Amino acid sequence: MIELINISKHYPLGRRKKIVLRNINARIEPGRNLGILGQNGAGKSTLLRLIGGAELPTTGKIFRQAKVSWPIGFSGGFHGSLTGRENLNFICRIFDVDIDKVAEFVEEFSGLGDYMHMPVNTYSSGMKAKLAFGLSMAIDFDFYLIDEVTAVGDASFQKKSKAEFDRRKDHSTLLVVSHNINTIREHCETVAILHEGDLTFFDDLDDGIAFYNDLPAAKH
Amino acid sequence: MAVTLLDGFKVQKRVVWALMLRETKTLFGKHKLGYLWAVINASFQVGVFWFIREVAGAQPPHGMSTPVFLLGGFIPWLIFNNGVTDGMNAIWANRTLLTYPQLFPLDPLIARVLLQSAMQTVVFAILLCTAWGMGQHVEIVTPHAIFISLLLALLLGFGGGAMCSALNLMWPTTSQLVPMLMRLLFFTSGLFFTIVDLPSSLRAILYYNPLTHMIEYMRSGFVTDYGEHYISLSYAFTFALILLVFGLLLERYARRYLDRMV
Repeated sequence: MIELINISKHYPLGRRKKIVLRNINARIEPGRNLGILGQNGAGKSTLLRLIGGAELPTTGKIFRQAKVSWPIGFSGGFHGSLTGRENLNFICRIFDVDIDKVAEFVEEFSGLGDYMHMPVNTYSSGMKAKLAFGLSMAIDFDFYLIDEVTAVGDASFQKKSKAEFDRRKDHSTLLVVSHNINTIREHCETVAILHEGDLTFFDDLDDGIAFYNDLPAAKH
Repeated sequence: MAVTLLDGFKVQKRVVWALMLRETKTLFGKHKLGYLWAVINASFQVGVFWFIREVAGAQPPHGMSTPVFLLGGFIPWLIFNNGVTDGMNAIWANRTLLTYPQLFPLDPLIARVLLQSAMQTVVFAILLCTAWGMGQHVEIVTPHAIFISLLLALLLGFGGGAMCSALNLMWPTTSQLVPMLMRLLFFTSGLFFTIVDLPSSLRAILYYNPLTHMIEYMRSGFVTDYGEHYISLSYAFTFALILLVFGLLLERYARRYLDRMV
């Protein structure tokens, strides 16, 4: 379970203050995939980074009684001059998981082959994302954070990813942020709408989507 | 599931260790000779000043051999200098790693400072043995003086690194000013001379430089009666601790600047 208590997040925007999240309280239970819909610039990625622990909220507290992944597809943590395998070793050490087991899984899943022993800066962006994705699958997380903007790989890899998520549905929960209704429909059972700093939960997908469609266009 | 301070410490130990292993690969990884460069670098600097001192006919005090005299200056200096200059960029260079929640901004800095200290200590041992093999007089009289001086270098490097990396986040011009300051300290810390030889007016000024005390204390480990009355360990340690406390406080404040850059 992930619990957000009185979470606010703002940062300065020129001389004004940009409020991304305003006093959010939420309980995210495992078992049902949650989609978070929001217009461009609503703060979806920031919310995901807060949940993942990459950023700290301005005020409030987040309790995680579960293993939460980094935003899937995030490959910024790789060091370009190190090989895929060396980067993998580093992340395994940080997360305290068995290096050999993870390496075996990632090699099989990502299909990178000999590229595992090449520096990451020789990789295409797709290959990097595959390595990052394989790693997050190899480490057994309870919650997977998915930022649609960073969705990875070609069609066949996406199919493989979807199958892998389906396979582990019993013990892993997805948290998907997107501005695209179809993405949310495809992966999620419940939905929350992020709009102007407020997060509104809907138990029923259709209710949430209807609410989202009625929102006025985003202004900047 | 209560997370205690001890658990947090265990995680940090693991993370810092992982970062150190990673840095060992990235530091010299792209050079063919790898870690030998750390040895080459130190011996080159010592060699240049050895040559200059020979030509100038300068005698090291108390019958110390010139390479030991110079190593006693350069090794703690390198720990301090590399701690500050590498440390200054550590947090910024590793900012994307902060996506992993186990990592705190200070961890990359700690990893770099520890790695530099360990590396230069090994270089020290290698070059002392080399000097001895070349027939120079190498004698360790008070081992704890050497050890304490190395520790002091680590503390000063860590404090200076924390201070500079925090300033660098808030005010990027820092990265231009720090090399200038380091150049100034290079010439005024007694790396290749001793304050004992200086006229008393100059000595009175350099006495405020904690690095001078660190270096002279290091040298006092290699001979008897080095001139300890010029050295104030308590001043150097007080300076180091104040620097460290201010560095850590400033780093805590500067963290808010990180969010916006990721």
